[in-house]
Amino acid sequence: MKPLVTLDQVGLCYRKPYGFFKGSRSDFWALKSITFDLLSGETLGILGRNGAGKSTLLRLLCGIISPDRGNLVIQPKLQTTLLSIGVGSHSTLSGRENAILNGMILGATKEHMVKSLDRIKEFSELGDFFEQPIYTYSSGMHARLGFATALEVDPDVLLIDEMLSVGDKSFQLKSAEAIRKRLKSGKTAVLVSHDIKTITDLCDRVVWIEHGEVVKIGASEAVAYDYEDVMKKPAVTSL
Amino acid sequence: MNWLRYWNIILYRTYAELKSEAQLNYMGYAWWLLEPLFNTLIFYTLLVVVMQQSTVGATTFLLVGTVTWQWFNGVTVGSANSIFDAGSMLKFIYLPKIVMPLIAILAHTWKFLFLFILLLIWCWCSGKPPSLAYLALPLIMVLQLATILSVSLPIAAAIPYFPDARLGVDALLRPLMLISGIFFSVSQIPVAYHVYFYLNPMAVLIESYRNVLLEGVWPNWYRLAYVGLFSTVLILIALRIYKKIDLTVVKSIHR
Repeated sequence: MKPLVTLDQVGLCYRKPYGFFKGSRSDFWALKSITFDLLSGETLGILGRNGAGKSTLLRLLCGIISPDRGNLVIQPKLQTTLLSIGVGSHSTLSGRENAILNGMILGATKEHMVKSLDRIKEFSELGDFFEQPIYTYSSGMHARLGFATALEVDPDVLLIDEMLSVGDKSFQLKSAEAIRKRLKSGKTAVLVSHDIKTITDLCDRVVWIEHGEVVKIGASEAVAYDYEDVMKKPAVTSL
Repeated sequence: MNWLRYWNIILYRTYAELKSEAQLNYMGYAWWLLEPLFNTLIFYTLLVVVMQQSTVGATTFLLVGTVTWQWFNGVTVGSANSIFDAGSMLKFIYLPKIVMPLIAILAHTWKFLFLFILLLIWCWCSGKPPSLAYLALPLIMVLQLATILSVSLPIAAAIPYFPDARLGVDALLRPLMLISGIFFSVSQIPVAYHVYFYLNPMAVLIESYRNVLLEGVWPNWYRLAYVGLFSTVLILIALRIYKKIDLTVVKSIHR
């Protein structure tokens, strides 16, 4: 399979800001050396403790930030979207208007979102609230609208950061099922999750990262079970 | 294709900003009108009551200054924090960073056009009918938009790196307002200082609007050419800055 994204010894550094009274600037390497390929059509899982660098890695894959060292090669015109709920929504706009706006922000065209509105209204179960400004929504309704909208965006590579379920129990089941269906459809995806079962169910391969470095990469079950063994031991956090 | 999507996002967000401004304030769109009127009132009091100057044509003279200044001031203040404030969104999705200030610029430009039409009606009603010189108005407006872009784009790009600069924007605009000729004309300052006065593009633009709207004469083309050159150079520099920070600025937004 052809790699859509190639990371070669990629590192990324966050710099704490200068301040007159704060002393000298200090650097924090969230990613130190990451090397792997994202192959076309695969679902790649990412495992790691909190603070391992998983979210930063997704931002790199999404093209939101560039690495400070190493090589990151993303195929030209590749559309990569981090599945996010309600990002960029505007409280005075209606659910309908926000669905169009959020969809465009996530990478879809306006025409595509306009065509998807009926499906979004149905999936989000908002009924007449779909036409109301979203400041009248409960947080669950917000999440349902955001999820239903995000589901309509169809990028080349879908990145998911721990969000397989939102809303009440019945909507959680429905949204998790929709994501599973999407991941099983053969589209390229990257999934970050702490849930080993989800990772082994849905992913073809897994990258395990700790302290900004790849610990292991390979078939999902082998890596996930090694990771689970290590997780039983206490973590040591360092800068 | 992506640029069409970005343009649609700019339009949609602009619409949302205008809608929310009108809905969340009790007086809605009336504020757009009241702000320059308050400024005019303050300058009128200063000019006519305190400095004992003639009242003939003073209101229209001041209105031209305050309405056109309002566009520059509104955009600069409104767009200054636009990238910084969008930090939480920009950590999840990629958008060219220039999109954020452009939303503020478009929203304030729309408000300005609404005010400008009222200003034209006011001018006609106060005995300043349209003249052939009105043909220069689109050019003056385009040059003011360019000036606005040349100032507001670099400020919006700098604030994520230097958040303290947020406080400096107001401090920069207030003296600039005082030296832009909103409440005085260039004839009231010594000739020796004219060259410095005209270094300020907003002073040139405000005088050009007055040339056309109040006197019915053509503006000074050389000075407008200077404004065009000034803003083009700064816009080109700003575009380079945006290209450079596009994939790094998010790391500097700590919120």
